[in-house]
Formats: sequence, structure tokens, C-alpha cells
Amino acid sequence: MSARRPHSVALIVASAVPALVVVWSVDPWTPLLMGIPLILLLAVSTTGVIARPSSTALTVLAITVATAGVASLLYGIPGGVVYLDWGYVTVSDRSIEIAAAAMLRIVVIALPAMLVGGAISAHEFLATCAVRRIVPDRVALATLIALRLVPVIASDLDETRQARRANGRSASLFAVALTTLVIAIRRAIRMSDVAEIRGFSKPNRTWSVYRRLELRDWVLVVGAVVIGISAMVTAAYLGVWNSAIR
Amino acid sequence: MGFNGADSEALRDITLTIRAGERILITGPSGGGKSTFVRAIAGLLDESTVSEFGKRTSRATSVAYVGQEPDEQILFPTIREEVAFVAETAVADPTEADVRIREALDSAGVTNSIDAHTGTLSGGEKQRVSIATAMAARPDLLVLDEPTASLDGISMETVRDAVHRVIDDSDSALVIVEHRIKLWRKLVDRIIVVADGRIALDGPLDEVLAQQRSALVALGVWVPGHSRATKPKSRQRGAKTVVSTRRLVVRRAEGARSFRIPALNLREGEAVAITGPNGSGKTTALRVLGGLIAPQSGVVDYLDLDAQPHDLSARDLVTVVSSVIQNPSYGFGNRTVADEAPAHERAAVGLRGMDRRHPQSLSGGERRRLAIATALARNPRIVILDEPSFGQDAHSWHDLLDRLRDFLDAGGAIILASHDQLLVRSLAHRVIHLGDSS
Repeated sequence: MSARRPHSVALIVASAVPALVVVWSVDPWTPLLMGIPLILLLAVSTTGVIARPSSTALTVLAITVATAGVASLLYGIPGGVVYLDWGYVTVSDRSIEIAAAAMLRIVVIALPAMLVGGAISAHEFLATCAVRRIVPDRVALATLIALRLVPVIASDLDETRQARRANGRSASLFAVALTTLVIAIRRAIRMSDVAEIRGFSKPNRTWSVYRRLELRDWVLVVGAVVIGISAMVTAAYLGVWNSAIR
Repeated sequence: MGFNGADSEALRDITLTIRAGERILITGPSGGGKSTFVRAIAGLLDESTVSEFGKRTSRATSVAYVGQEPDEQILFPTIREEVAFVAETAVADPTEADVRIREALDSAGVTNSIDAHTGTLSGGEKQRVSIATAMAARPDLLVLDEPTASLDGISMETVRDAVHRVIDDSDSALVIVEHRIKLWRKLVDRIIVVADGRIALDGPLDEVLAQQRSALVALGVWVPGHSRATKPKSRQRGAKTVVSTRRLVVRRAEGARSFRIPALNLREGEAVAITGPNGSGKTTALRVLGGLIAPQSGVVDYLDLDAQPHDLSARDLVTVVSSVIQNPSYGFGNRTVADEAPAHERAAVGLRGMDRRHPQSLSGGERRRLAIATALARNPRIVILDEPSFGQDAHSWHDLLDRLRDFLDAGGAIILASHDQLLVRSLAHRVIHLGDSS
């Protein structure tokens, strides 16, 4: 594992800050004030470590943002000057502000996660949780095994669909899901045998991928938290803070 | 390790002692109880299935087990996590765990990146990683249940060599279930034949092979040098073409690797085999030919049908072509074997006396024969078979061959993919070999 990659715990905490901040505010300024420095911080922290988000992922994000923006613009609560009023559609100062806030909130939550997603090691994160006694070893191991099974179950769905067709049976969603469920349970039983014989329940395991957070990891965590709090304080100071909690 | 008096549906009156460092091959007829037996040895049998008289005593501090199905042996998303899982339970110091991981991977001949995702590995690579994982605990006993069952010839040899190395590098005893005695002959020194839930033969390998040859053959064991391919019957001249392909390119899914399939022209009464290493596109080609998925490009012409097979409804498709996919467990839709296929078809492939059993409770070889019986019972014009001879003993293999030849004699056509050269030589009139290149 690359020594330059920030600790997964630091990356998860830093990329979670925007979601925690925008819960408190519905104005467009707080995500803007927070998003720009935070995205820069995460981009610098992970430079050269991971591939940047793919064009497909960015396209999906752009479509999501545009859809949320247009919907909020046309159907948002009206207020202030009204620019267009046609049936259920009303474009006003208030709906423009809501649309901007909605788009910025999505960007500021999704983009940091997309930036660091490829650098996060679930193994390292779970090992840290287990070593720090946040979760029992067995929970950490079971979560890793579950992650491995996601693509296997997706493949089961395909196999079941094709096997039913090969036998002249319909591939209805319910029938395919039921067969896949039975197969997944049977496999899980056999895999739990394999896990058990390999020491799943043995106490006092070590975690070779576990490492402590280094100074730069703490800088990333503290930097993200400071950026989040500063954005909230600045928005309040400028009088643009619009609390989500009334 | 001592094991005596256990009694379950699959095993009766078994007494066995395994000594340290011993290398044992367990073989026997399909459905005879081999897998249950080694699961008992590995300590994996549910206590409730063992009678009060059954007893497993073990002085082994650790037992490692690798089963048949590569996907069921791999538990974690990356190779490092997979091997670390075992190494981290065996040692107290994380640094030592790292050393163990490296040693185990080197010994098993795993050359992939340690951070490679296990989902991207081939079947042979997965089994080598599983063997490395098993050996990371430095077990007293390594139990392998048909570790090469789903692999091509080259992958089989690499897994065999990996087992050779890890056993030579350690003091572990080895118990391996296999139909292919020839593949493991140089590694093992004792053979146990399990038939009808009992130990039928037990002794030094060379001695048993020399002195009990006829008994082994009678039990359906693949005795080295005994089985010879018999040429398939010549197909009828002028027979009608049942399927042909043009410029066929296949892929498993959007974005997956593409494979160009050579032109195929199959006539009534004819069998064609598609061969090639793991990952060469055999299974994908069969799925396209069987109308289960659409081709990337090109045409599959069936009989006088106007439509492409993947455009037909499932009900219409099976009247023309019936496919048996590699893992038949996905296709069973009934609660009993009797409901799955008619009695005469079951009998023809050697499935007797198991009418009321659930199809999923059968052994791997039996499940495969049941799926073939089910496919043939639909009386299709073409049958497509993906590795039909996995897990078959010599008797059931011949039953299967005879039934498939009868199908050809009746004017049916067969397309099969197989690593079993004996089956290919005995059944196929032509062979299409798919290489590595896409």
C-alpha cells in the first residue's frame, strides 16, 4: 500500500464534513464557502495517489445536479420578485436561491467523496475500528466478507436469469431474486464454514494493515473540520446563513 | 487424527487414522460420500449429523481446508486481505503476519499483485490464493476437496504444482479428494476409495493400483491407463444443418472482453467441441449459441427460424435448443429430483434411488447429470453443454457418454465446451479451439 496515501479514517472523516455542515444550512453560501477550500485540501492530499473521478462519474454528477437545480427552480417555494408564473411553475428570487443551494449542496457532498473514494481502503478503516475497539473483530471481518460478496451476488443474478431462460422459465424479478437468495444463503453457509476453519472466531487476532494516523492525517482531519466551522461562522457573520432548523 | 464410527446419511462405519506428514488421495464413485468424508476430517460436519457413536479425535493444532468451488473459498476483496485473515490469527506480531503472507504466496506460486482484487482472478489463480491462505496458518493437515475440478489442463497443473511446493516446504499431512489419480500420483503415498459411504479400499497407492486394479475399475475409479477414448460414430451423410454462425463476436457483458468465434456449421447427429484455456471465451460462446445472451455482433442461424435465438421467448427457445450451464444449481426449479427429470432420463445417466432428494442436495457430479437429463427430456434439436463431465467417476462418465451418443443417433446435435480431452475425443466430430487472443 502506498506510503503517500492518507489514512482511510482521515479521508472518511474529511469527506464526511460537508454532509454534516449542510444539514444545518439551506443557503447557497455555506456550501460554496466550505466546498472550494475543502475540495482543494482533499485534491492536494490525494495528488498522485489515486486516479481522478472518471468522466462518466462526473457526467452522472452533472446530470443529477442539473435535474435537482431545474426541479427546485421551477417548483421551489416562491418568494421575492416573480419572473415566471405558469400553472404549477413559478420562478422567483426564492426558487432561484433554493435551486442554487440544492445544486451546491449536492456538489459539495458528492465531489469530495468522489475525489477520495478510490483512496479509501475498507480494510484499513475496519482494521482501525477493530484495533481501537470501536467494533468487535468479527463485525469488521464480516463487513469485509460482505463487500467481497456484492459482485458475487450480482453475478448470481445474471447466472440465475440465464439458467431460468435455459430451462424455459420466465426471468421475472421475483423468481430470479428468490432463487438468487436461496443460492446466496447456501453459499454463505459454506463460506462461513471456510471462515470458521480459518479462524474467524479466534480471539486476539492481529491486524497487519493497521497503522496509526500520522501528523499529515491529523492535519487533513483538523483542516476539514476547521474549514467546515469557518464556513458556518463566515456565513453567519455575512448574514447569509439560513438555518435548516427552525 | 483419528476418526471412527461416524454415522450420517452419507457415511457409515468409517475408521481412519491419518499420521503426521502422510499424503492421502481419496477417490471413489460420484455421490459416494467423498466430500462429506473430508468435511468430517476437516471438522466441518455439523455435530447434529454425527451419531452419538461417532468420534473425531485430533492432535492436529490446525487443519486447513480448500473446497471445490473457487468463488466459495475466497472470502475477502483483495489477495492481501484473504491471506492476512489466516496469518493474523496465527501470529501475535503484525510484522510476522506480513512475513507469513509473503511466504505463503511465494510458496503457492501466486504472482499477482498482493493488492489485486480477488474478483478479477481466474479460477486457477483463486485456488492458488486459497492454498496460500490455507498454508499461512502452517497447518498440521491440509484438506483439499477437488481443488482442480473446474480448471483447464494448464491451470490444473499449476494448482497441482502449488500443492506440491507447499507440502514439500512444510511438515503438513495432506488429504486430497480427486478423480484424477494420474494428476496427483507423484505427490500422494496412500489411496482411500470411498464408495457408498464406506471405505472400500485403503492402502499404499502403488500397491493398491497394482493389486486391486479390477476392484478399482469395478468401483468406477479412474485407473491410470485404463480408460481409452472410443471414436464417435460417423455422422449421417447429407444430414440437415441445424445451426450455423457468421462473423460471431461475443462478450459476457457491456465493457467486457470480446471474443471472435470461428464460423460454425453443425448438422443433425453431429457434435462439436469448443476447447481452450480458462478465460478464452468458451462459456460466453455457449451462452450466445444457446440464445441466453445476445452476441456483440454477428449472426446465429437456427434451423429454419427467422429470429435470432436470443430474441426467442424462453418457452420457444427450449423447444429448439437446451443449454446446461456450468453450475447447474442455478437452474433447478423443483423440490425433488423426480420432479426435475423423468425416470427414464434419470436412469439413462445413472441417477437411481434418489427420487425424493432435493436437487441441491446431490453431489456436484450428480447435479450435473440431473441437469443434462432435464435438458434432454425436453427433446430439443440441439443440446449445449458446458463442462458436462465435471465430478464424474468412470461409470457415470460412461453412462453420460452413452446417453449423449444416443441423442446424436436420434438426430440431435451437441455443442459442448470441455477440458476433458477423453470426452472430447469420444464424442466430438470436430473441435473448435479458442486461443488467448480476443
